[in-house]
Amino acid sequence: MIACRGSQSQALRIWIVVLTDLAVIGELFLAMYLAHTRREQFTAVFAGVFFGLLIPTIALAKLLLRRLAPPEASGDPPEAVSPEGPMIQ
Amino acid sequence: MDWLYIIMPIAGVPIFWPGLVILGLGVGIIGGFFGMGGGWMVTPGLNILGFPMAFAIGTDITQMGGMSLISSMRHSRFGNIDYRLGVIMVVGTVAGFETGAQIIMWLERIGHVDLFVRLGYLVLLSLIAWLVFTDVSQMKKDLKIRKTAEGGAAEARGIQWHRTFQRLPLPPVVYFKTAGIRCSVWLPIAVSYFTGFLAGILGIGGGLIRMPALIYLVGVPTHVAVGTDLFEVAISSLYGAASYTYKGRTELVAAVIMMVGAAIGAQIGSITTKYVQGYGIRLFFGIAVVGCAVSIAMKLAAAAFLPLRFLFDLGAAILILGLVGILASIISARFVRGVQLELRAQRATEPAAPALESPDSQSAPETPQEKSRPSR
Repeated sequence: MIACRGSQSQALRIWIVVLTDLAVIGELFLAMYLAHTRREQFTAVFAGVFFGLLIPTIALAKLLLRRLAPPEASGDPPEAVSPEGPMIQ
Repeated sequence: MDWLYIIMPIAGVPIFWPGLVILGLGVGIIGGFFGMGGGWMVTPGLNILGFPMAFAIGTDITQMGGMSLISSMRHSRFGNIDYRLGVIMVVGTVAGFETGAQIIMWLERIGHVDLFVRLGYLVLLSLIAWLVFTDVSQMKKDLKIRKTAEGGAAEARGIQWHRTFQRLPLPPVVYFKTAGIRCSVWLPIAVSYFTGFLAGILGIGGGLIRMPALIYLVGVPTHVAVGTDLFEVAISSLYGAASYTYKGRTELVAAVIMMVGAAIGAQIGSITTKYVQGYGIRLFFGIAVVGCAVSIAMKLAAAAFLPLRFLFDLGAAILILGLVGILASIISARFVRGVQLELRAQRATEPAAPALESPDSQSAPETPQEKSRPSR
């Protein structure tokens, strides 16, 4: 557990989420660019590059968020979707 | 920069793919904020970006399947899903969905799919707009009553149709434990068949109709209705994704691109509910729905008046993307302001001494489980 002030910890967690989001967008652009260069194998190249980068990025972000989480929320990092989720589709 | 325009591998149409990220982001923000999946925005949005209608529906459903599965898994942790009711409703949902999807394939064969689906959307969006504006006017009336009558108004009785429907003597009659109701199994099957049909024909989850139907027609408590509805959305979307993929009408790459945008947008939208109160933004949402309906009407006009087709198409694209963009920007601005204020307030309340806090005293970032949705 990283001991630091509450607001610092929360700010750090927010930054991790923001950086993860930006990294995912960057990975998407890279995957599309590389897939574009090999059009005959577009879907395979896109899926390989994108998911190959996405999975380690998400895993790393989850790990960091867990390490920064207070004990009562350690198993449940701040998440994207509200508990209600999309109430109406 | 030609790599920003790609020919979709299955649909075979050229698409400005960052537009998919923007659409997903906007839909995610709006959906996360208003508690909706936003399926009603995605199909017209994809169609306006250049997808043929059947591909727009298939791709929308695939994108929705992934998102709703995650949401319903989270709801199950809160015990909000009546699985017996959900499993019974799957029968109606799947049958209704397949009926809708078969009608779409038939309409595609005879060449009327665009017209039919757009007209369907016009009706649906008019209904949403009516609901939103009615809600806002009701809120204004309530405020007036509170101002004029002290001690509060008389308690509303609400709609009691479910009492009549629950008495239907069609066997088998089943008790649903989580929902706490007893009724004929044909009642939830009929409700789910109709909503599954809507899902199949319009590419929406059907929750807009299903959730109120579960409450008012079946008599399910609201929190169980929300959870069970999401379970049905996940089932119908995943079945729909498989069905449309089997029929070759799903663009998986586009669905993944949109999911990236939607996942990021949903974070912003759902967290912003903590910071925004009041009905002003809901009113704006109603206007956005009307704008969406107008853009679909413009697409219909483009098909009817061929000499002006380019102008109508351009106007429709600008209108829908502009509205989603403006609404998403307003919510994002509130999000940034809210986070800034919260962090500032937290710094102000913390002790000035730079002592390290013990983990127990750390103020946990408010997780969605802890925060309650403010009434807007």
